[in-house]
Amino acid sequence: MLASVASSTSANRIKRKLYESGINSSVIQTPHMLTKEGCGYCLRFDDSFKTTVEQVALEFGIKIRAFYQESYNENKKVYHKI
Amino acid sequence: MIYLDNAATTFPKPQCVIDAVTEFMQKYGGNPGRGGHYLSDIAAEKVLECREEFASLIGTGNPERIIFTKNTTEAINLAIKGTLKKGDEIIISSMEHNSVLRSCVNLEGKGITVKIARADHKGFVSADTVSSLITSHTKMICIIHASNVVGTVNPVREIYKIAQMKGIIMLVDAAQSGGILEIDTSCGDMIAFAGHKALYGPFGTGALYIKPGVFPDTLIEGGTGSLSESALMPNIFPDKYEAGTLNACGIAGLCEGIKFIKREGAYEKELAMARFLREEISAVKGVKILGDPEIGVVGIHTKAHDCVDICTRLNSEYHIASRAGLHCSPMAHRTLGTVTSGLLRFSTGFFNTKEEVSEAAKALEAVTKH
Repeated sequence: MLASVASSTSANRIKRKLYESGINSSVIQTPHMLTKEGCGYCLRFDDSFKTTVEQVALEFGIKIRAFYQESYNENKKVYHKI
Repeated sequence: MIYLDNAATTFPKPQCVIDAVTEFMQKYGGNPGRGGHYLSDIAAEKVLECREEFASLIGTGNPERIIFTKNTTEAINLAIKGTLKKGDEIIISSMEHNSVLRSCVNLEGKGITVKIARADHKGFVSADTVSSLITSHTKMICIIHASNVVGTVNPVREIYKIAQMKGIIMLVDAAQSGGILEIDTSCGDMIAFAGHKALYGPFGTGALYIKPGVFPDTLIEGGTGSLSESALMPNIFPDKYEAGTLNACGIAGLCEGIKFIKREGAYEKELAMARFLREEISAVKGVKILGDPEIGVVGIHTKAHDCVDICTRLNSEYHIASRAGLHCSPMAHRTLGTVTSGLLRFSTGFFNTKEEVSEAAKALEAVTKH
């Protein structure tokens, strides 16, 4: 799952906090098809941690712009906004 | 060389700082917050780590409010020029560095009124003096925490309480005090730091802490790696104030510098050395310490000798580094009465020893005898 945020700093803050709790995640650039205002960053994590991600973002005052489910459709990567 | 010019920049830097800069450039020198590859990811993590170390140093839970700049001067310019508009007033002390004075003089030509809170003969500016200058137009107060000329420390917390009661934004110039004196968010709305002085980071690093609820205008605009389709700077911290590529390898070094001072108990050591420096120089005949130094910065007045001549002789004959002249603070020297003569300045750092300070005092005595 992806959580889209505005900046690299925001994504990395959540990532560090999750890591401290033993949850692995990674920061990637927001796929261009998903960007509404230009470049941004996403946190990629296992679906099961969505609530934790929301809580951490709330704690830090970070706005999560959207959650996306990643999948493939005939070998093409697609994103479903949640 | 006996290095007693730490107020200009600290030397040497801890090995961990040097290693961090080297490691950054060799192993993960991508551009943080630009692109999405491994090298930029690691670089971004390192920058965030430094923000968090800085935030914990000053007791804030908002690392995104630590804005990296290339030096204190840029941080001060951002704070002052980002806050004041035509018709506003700013109160500054008469001990301010040129980074404050010149920024303000530049703004005077644009309809800003600058008021000077006069410090006493020791370079101390009282909260009452600042308070007496406040009017309904006062938008900002800017006070140097510790003088870079004579080491006098100003009551910034007391002044900030007054500023808060009156709804005035307070900026603290912590260039000399960051890493030596306790500074936290009770000192001001914005606090400007030098990365390369007592925080032991490399050149090209500095920071401005901006308290939540304070939103200065930007000083420069450019790419941020975020919300890039917009022609406006993103309205998020820290991106709004960090246009262009950061000095990421410098920040990696600064991160280790901050960890170093925490780990080594630098505050206590610096203050103990400051006391020793003052004792040793006080005992030198024919010279006078001006101000009331509480940090390891001592401004020395020598009636019979040109301060630059002494500085030059200390360098060439005794291999002692010091600084003489006006220290980019002519207003402070006017306050102290030394704008014509200048002052010789010794400033200690973490790596100075008592033996070095004693030797410098002896050399000073020898040079001022002839």
